[in-house]
Amino acid sequence: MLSRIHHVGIVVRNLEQAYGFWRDTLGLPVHKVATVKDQDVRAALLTVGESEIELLQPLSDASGIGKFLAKRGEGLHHLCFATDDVGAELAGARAKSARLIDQKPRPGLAGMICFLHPASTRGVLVEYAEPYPPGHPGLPGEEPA
Amino acid sequence: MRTERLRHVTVVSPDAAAARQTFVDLFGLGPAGPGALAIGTARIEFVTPAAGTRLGDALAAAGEGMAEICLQVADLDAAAATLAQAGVGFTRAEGALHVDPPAAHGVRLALVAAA
Repeated sequence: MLSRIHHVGIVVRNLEQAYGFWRDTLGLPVHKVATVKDQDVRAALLTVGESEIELLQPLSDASGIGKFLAKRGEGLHHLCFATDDVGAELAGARAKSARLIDQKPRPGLAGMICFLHPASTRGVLVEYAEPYPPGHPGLPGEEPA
Repeated sequence: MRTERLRHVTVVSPDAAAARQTFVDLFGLGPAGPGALAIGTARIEFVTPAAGTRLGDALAAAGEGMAEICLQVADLDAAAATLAQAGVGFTRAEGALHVDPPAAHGVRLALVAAA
């Protein structure tokens, strides 16, 4: 069951520069930072109420985020819903014939995650995230916030 | 600035009602007023914007999709002062501060106070 917007993903050229607006001007605290090696991206989650803003800096032009940045520039990238069962959400989407990007959940910064293709979701790239349980070590590559 | 929560996300579409129905059917979200769906304490608003407007330009440039986010702040006047002090461009209209997208890393960002 979807409970809330977990985060909104935003592609930026440089994470440290982006902090100047999102952290320092808007006052959003950085909750988590990590280098996600399989995505070739450096990401930070900043808390805003029950949701978060995820800033994504590509580490190569060839990565998915790098290609997005080259084509569309900085800006809104995806919308993530929090769920208590990412596998069930994925199965439900599959049963409704939604086009999937991920065929099974995988570890991400926000928890176990999977993406739906925007062709099925009105141009919105949608992610499901099942947050890690308390005490979980999190994603390899996480840094102190 | 004290930013309290994500208030809503705006999805623009040539057919806002159909886009809204897609999110009902696929995600099981319930209504939150005309043209909007509820998810936790936030909403997803579905809009078919007029050409030449802020959101109309977004639809024309990028097509159907997520076009804007809105954050709730504790004090709109204080937020305006903080933006000005930081050199961040914005316009104030319809009870909201609309941050210049280049200052918000390409994001159409609105700031509003609690109703």
